[in-house]
Amino acid sequence: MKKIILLFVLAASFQANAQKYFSKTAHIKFFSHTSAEDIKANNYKSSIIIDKASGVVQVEGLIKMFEFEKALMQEHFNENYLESDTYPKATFKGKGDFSGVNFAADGNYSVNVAGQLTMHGVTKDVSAIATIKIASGKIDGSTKFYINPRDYNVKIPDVVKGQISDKIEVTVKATLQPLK
Amino acid sequence: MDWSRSSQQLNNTMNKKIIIIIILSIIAISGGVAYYIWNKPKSNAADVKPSYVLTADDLAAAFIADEIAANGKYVKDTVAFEMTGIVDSVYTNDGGEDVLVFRTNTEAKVACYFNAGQDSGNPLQFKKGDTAKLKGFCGGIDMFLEVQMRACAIVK
Repeated sequence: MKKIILLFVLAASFQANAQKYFSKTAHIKFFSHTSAEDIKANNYKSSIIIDKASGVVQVEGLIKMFEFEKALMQEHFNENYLESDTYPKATFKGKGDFSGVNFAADGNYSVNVAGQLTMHGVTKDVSAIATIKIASGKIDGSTKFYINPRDYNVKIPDVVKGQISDKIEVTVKATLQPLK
Repeated sequence: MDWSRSSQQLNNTMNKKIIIIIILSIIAISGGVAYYIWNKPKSNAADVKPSYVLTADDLAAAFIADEIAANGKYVKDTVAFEMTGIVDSVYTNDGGEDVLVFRTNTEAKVACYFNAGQDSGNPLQFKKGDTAKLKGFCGGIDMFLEVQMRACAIVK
């Protein structure tokens, strides 16, 4: 009996001490809206890791793994705009204050995360509000922010300028698990 | 005189008609080609001649040894692979893509993604421990040491 109690105490303390949370199946979505066309790209195999103690947040997506509705859009995205042969990754490294987030109990939190987004060989400051929802042990994190392709030195030809917004909505969603 | 003039007029109208038909045909054909290119369906690697025939172990080892060099060599839209490996797991992700994961003799795994809604063989038929052979393109390696392959198609 004592052993069982000890086991429970150990398990509970381990749970409370799990300081890092991650997902290998995070969903990053790019969405461009113009009057001419809506374009979206999805990557359901992105990585995210949050270190509660230090507040460090890292997100990473491989550019070639973004899926578009149309093959041609995907080709242009990779070959002409983000030049993924040369720049295969988009990475975000930042910090947020997660000290008030109790990952072990149900609750909703908003955390301001600020850091640098590197894409197409260009690094820019980005900040966004991350929402963390914990319900029945399931930890869902999400955020949304906007980027301008020109800030990342993405050259869009005049012919298609009307079809690609200069305000691209970036959404990140992930179900986080404690890193053991 | 009258006859030859009317014959010339006839020729002129004929020529005009032919020119109009040719122009219309060119417009129709280029319109059709543009429409086809714009709506061209996504293709997988099934019919692409592989640049490299290797094992999941080989590719994982290359990325573990030197990620930048491996990116430069393998992460290209024109570089296709035929790859053999031992299956670690298969599943369908939130994006509706089937995924076949190869275990390797390194700390990395190789995850192969199949276009959603496209016939690329049936990756879900494989079980842990099976040997599978497929074709695909490489997207790179992520921070959890997963080498990602895209537009995959089962060979065997």
